Amino acid sequence: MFQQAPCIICLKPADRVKDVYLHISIKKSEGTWNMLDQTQNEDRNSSTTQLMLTFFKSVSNSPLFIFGVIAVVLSITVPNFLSVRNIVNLLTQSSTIGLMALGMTFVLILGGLDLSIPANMAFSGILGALYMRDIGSPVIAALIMVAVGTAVGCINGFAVAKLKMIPFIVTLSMQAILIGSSIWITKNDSVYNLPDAFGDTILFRMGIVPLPVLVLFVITIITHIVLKLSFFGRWIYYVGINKNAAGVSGIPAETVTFFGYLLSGFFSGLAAIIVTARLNSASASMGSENIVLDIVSSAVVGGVSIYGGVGTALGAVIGVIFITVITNTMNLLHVPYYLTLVIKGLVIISVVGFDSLRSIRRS
Amino acid sequence: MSESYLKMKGISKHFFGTYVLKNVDLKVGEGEVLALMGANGAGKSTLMNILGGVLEPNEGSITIGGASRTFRSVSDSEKAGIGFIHQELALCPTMTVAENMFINRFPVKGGVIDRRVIREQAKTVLDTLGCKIDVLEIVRNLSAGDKQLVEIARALLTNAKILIFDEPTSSLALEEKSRFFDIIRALQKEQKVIIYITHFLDEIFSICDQVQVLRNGETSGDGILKDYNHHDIVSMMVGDLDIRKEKKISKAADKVLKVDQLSRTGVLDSISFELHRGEILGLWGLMGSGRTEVLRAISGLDPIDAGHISVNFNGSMQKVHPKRVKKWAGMVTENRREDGLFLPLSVASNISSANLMTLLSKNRFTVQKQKEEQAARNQVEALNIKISNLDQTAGTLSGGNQQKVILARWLSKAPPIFFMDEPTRGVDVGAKNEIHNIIKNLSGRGFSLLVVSSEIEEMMELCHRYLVIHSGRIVKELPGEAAKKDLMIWASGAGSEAGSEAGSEAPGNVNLGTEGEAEREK
Amino acid sequence: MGNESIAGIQAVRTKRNVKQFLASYGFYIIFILVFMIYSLRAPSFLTVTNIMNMLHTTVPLMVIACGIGMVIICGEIDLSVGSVAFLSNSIGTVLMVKAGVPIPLAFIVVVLTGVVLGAINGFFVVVFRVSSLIVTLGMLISFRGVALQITNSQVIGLPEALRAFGNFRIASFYIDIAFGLIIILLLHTLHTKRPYGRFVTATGNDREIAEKLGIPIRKIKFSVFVISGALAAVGGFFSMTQVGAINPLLGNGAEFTGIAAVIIGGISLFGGEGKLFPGVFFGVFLLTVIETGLNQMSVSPYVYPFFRGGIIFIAMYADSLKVRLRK
Repeated sequence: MFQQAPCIICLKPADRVKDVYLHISIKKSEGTWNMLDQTQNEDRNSSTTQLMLTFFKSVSNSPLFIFGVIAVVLSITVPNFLSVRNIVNLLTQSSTIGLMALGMTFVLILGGLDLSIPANMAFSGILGALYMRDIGSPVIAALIMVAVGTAVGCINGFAVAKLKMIPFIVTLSMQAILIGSSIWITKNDSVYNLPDAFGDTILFRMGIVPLPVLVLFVITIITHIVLKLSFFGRWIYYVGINKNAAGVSGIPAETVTFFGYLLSGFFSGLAAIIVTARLNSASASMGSENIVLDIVSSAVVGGVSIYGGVGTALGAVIGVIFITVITNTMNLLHVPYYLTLVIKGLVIISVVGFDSLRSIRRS
Repeated sequence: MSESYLKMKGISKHFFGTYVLKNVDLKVGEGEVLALMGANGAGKSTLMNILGGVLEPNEGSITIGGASRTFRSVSDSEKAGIGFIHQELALCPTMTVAENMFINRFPVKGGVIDRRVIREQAKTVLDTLGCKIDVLEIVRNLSAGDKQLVEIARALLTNAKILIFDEPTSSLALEEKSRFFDIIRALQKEQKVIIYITHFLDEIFSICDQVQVLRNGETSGDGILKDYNHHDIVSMMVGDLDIRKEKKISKAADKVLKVDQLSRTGVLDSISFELHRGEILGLWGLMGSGRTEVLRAISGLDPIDAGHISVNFNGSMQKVHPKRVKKWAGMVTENRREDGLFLPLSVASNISSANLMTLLSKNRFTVQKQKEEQAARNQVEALNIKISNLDQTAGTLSGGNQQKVILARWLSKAPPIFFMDEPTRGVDVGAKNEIHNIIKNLSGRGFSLLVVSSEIEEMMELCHRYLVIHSGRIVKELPGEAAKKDLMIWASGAGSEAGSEAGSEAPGNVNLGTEGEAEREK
Repeated sequence: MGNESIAGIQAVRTKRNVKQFLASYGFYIIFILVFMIYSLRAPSFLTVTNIMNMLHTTVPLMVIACGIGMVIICGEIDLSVGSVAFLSNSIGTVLMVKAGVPIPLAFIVVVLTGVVLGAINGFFVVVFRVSSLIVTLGMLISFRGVALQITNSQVIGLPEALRAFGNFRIASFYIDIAFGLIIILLLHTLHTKRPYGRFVTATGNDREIAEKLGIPIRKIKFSVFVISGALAAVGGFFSMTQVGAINPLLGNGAEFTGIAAVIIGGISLFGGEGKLFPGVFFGVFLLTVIETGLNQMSVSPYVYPFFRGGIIFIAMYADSLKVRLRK
């Protein structure tokens, strides 16, 4: 019975590398790494040398460093990697996974897990797309996507925080429910014929930068600030590190957990807008469970611990870019799509394994 | 009496240079019950862990049945016929009684566990204990007393000759207790060697023959129990010196906290008291008496079934929900690693965790780094916390400094009330003194403190007044000048016999010199 | 006031007992209700043929769920079962079809592959101490990737003999029902009657206590992943023979339905609790009954995952409720 389950259909590689930005020109082809490093620098207001030291220390301490080196090597050796088209493509791909990874980062730092993110993205995308197609305004459609995503996040948050259910089961069943509903609503077909205005607005290019990349950039900085500098971000770390101690210190741990899942849903809704615009359609297949692996591995590679309490938004997004680079490189090298799945699976396990071995040795 | 069956000779054990046991001898013969007594930290557990193979002694020898033995592991000790019934039971709650008894020695017949054999043997052993538990019952459904019996039965199954009971009655109800004593007597008749660790004075007089008292890692007295009375034992436990300083707190000071008829089914029973401004109120009781539970209940960490709590709010007492008491009170929990500190975080963010909302910048959203660091630095200096810089993680600090970080957290918030559970557990002597000074200083500045500690010296050093708690009830209120003996006696449950609310609790008759005094106070 | 509070406490207790009863037996009640409703609405539902058909459909998932059940009882999780089923059978099928390896030998290879894949999971969990959730999530994707590579993402038909085996029946009794029942009963025996099974339960109860009692918890943990791998391979084999071919969706979503069945059957995700028989059998059967019934009432198959998700959500809530009520 289970093998006929109309559950999850893999996205074909062609969908995933779909190149929407053929005609964009980039004047400077500076690496993404530099750009993001600078944002981290801007967040701190101490002296530059000390800052570089801390940055070097934190980077060389994490697997990121090794992966950064690999990425640079790849970019030099692989043909077409540094082409303008490829880099724009790469960043745009990163933007959706990046938004979802940011949502996941909140939940992971809280010590939880949200497996329903891609399904949530697909579901809210479909509802918004249906509205756009049948009723009207793309603006309201976009709001619907965000609202639906957030509502789903609220349900997850309520189940985990108030009902004290195990996060991965809550979100796993939520994933099944959402994919099921999506297939049901759409009869397993794509929702297309969306108003042009929607795609045109969302994919608007500001000079060299497509809007989704800009959105990711801005939201990453905001999220980073919220996590690192705001009281709410602090509460998230406190709860993720030690829920009991947080409770004793008077931190509203349940509420904080609830909001973590809420935000994860919110970001799924944002991602839905961009994905729907890029594909110019919405379908249940957008919520493939392989994307969960991409999200989790990005976050983990970017230094977010699955055991809670550790990680930054910036790290997660750098992880996303790294994972996208790997996928992209393997595409360019004509590595079979399936093999990229194997490699990604192994990357995440080895990163987590490396991390836990290190902590064992330390204690 | 000839040679003793179990002999431990010249046992010494030190951790990091501090002696926990110094040249301790212990001997018990067949059919004897030895009461091993001592205050917390006297070395009882260490001594028994050495016998149980959990720890290795630095010096000394163990002789069992005339043969010299060394134990490298728990299984070595088990093979030598030693059964250790720990206070915290090692049972699997979802499995049956019989399975739990046979968990590490299932008899197999025809490829499967021989259920008939384990059922019958389990039943036989439980029968010899005079206990009617169904061997197929799931352990989770048993009462605390029955669980203990299962554990004893498991030890008996291994044909253990020497049985060590660590605080066996702390979780038992009254009738369970008397049944348990019958079992001890039955075991005694079977020529078992029994070592019985307890805080409860009345118990040892009803079942033990021999007594050995440890104090500060040394034997402070031993011999035949009949030769001693309650007083002698208490004196041996606590020593003779009674450092009592004059501690006065003006009676007129206003109330800051009032707890009324607080109950939690099976744990706390009608707890009522008042806490005054500038007072250090000691909640004194043995482990498992409910002392920690009182703190957890009034700070909203555990649910309550009945009763209410009022705090002084701008001069008038107002009822508040337990969950909201945290607004007025700082809580130092007994287990700083598990529910106190955020170990991987910096000292600064540990200190600011309870007080984050006052450290925000003008936008009311981001935490202002300078304010946070300044607040942390003030506390670090005031409490003399030894760190290299504020970014050092809390996990790398010593116990004393960790404890000070928790105190610093609450001092920077400065609520009017502090709850402190074991404020100096696992802390070196120097830091202990400093923490005591911090506590006294707080009291002097008009803060009110409710303190729990298992160390009587610490309580006597700090408290202005004591509430003695036993079996989830406050059995006595004692003034700050109360003698050590009184504190010990009331906490051990013996005092309630002497008091006028007599009879319900302690079995066996207790005659103490404090009786008259207690009555006069009543 | 005393009496009042006692009455209050008793009221609370009765409420608790009702809740506890519902949390423990609620699914049996749902099962009976569902069964009754379907029997009344679809006349073909309550027939021997239909019940046998449902059992037949149940077999592959039942075998796989037994493996998941063992892992969950041990306090861990295995999400990779579907992919293990697919990969091991891909190898077996390719050997049979492309290399002409005899069927029994190919079957042995399938099982051994399952064992090896399970061992890989166990290795990462025990030696590298990576959370089993992450390890098996990674393997869920990786193993499927390898298998898609091996089969080239194509449907490969099985040899005639195997196809016949998959749907072989005597009267309306499919032969694989017998195999499925034998496997679940054997595992039930292993779990409840062998010291090993009791060690698994003890480990799931509390790792530290188990260690104190001298149980080799690392070996036990490793072994449950191996068992789960082997059973996933066997379950996949049954599934494949029923269809008569291996297709790229083999085992897809099995981790989810498997966990659902296990939880519905009363095995707690918190470890150490529950039984494979009748628990898992019942859980798998309930899921099949619900879907068959929906099918016979002509409900769109697209709705099934929605129902399944809803049921596991409820099951999980009941599980966490049980644990909380006990405190």
